[in-house]
Amino acid sequence: MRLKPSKGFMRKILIVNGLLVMGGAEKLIYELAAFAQKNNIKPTVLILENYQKEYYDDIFKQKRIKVVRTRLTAIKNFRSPIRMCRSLYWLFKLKFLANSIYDSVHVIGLYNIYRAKDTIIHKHRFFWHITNTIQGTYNFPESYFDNPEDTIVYINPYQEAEFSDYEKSTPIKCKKVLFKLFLND
Amino acid sequence: MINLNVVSRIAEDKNFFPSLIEVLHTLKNEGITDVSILFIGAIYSQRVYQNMLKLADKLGVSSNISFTKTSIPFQELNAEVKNGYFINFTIGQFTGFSGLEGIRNGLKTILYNVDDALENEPSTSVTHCRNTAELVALIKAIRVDQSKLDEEIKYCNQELINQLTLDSSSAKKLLGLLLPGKSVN
Repeated sequence: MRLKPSKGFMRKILIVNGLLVMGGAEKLIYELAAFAQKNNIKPTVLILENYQKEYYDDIFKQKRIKVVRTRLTAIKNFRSPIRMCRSLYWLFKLKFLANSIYDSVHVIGLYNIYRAKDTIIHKHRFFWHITNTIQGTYNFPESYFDNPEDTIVYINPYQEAEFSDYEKSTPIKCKKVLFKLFLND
Repeated sequence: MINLNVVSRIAEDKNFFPSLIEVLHTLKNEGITDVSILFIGAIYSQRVYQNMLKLADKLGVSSNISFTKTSIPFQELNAEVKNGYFINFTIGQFTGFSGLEGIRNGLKTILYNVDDALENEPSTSVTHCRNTAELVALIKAIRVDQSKLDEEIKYCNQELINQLTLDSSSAKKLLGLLLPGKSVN
């Protein structure tokens, strides 16, 4: 499945996480970004509140996948004015222009929603759910799921059942979709 | 000697390790002491790590476990480790990326369900152990006829990988998540 390249215009997506270490969440970012590239979509990986170089940085560099490390909260940092200016630039861009720049925004892990919920304003936000209750009881605030335009992406059917239970106590207004983990060729 | 490997961060949300140490203890009680487990992954929780050491000591299997204490990409594991069996924690039938990557790298991977609530789900694969009893039984079977079991494990692993490759319909669905509202052919 390939999308036809459009002349002079490249689709873009934004993928948000807090780390690029060797782990399953980061592998999902890699596979999503690689799939996007194969389909002439330009992925940008946004790593928030973490400036440390990690395992996937070099891998993404080799694949020419753009990685942005910045901060969208507590951005006052007069000891590092360049970082502070960059934070302000991204804060403005993601709050006011994200809809016109990116076709979709993908937040990896429901535990990362707090990083993006109020700072990345977009009508197509996808929250990839990558854990199960056995790894820790769901205790996400209700506000995470109050926007009917957002979508939770389950990666296994057990999460659907777990969320059905969770919904008995927490109203979920988001859309929900199941999409299996995958490996590109 | 049967070398088992577990690729996982040593962390609270991955703390299914005690049951594996108990597996070593069960085997030891049956006179089987030639089984060892190498835990491959960075230590994120000293508490989890120390508890593993204490449990192994209490059960008399300390000499059967070891730790890399750092994360290592599959490609960089040495031949002896690669030749062992990789136990991957699953939720029921759901396998995460560490299992999939291992299989993609040609490693013999045993899937081990860690959610007790799902241990009665039907299992169709020799590599899928629904509980510790099945894991113990599989290890014993490997000791009896290693080459036969190796073939079966490799076959089942390949079946799993085939299911996780994107076919045209799932690729189309994924494109729909990346480019919502755009027509995808």
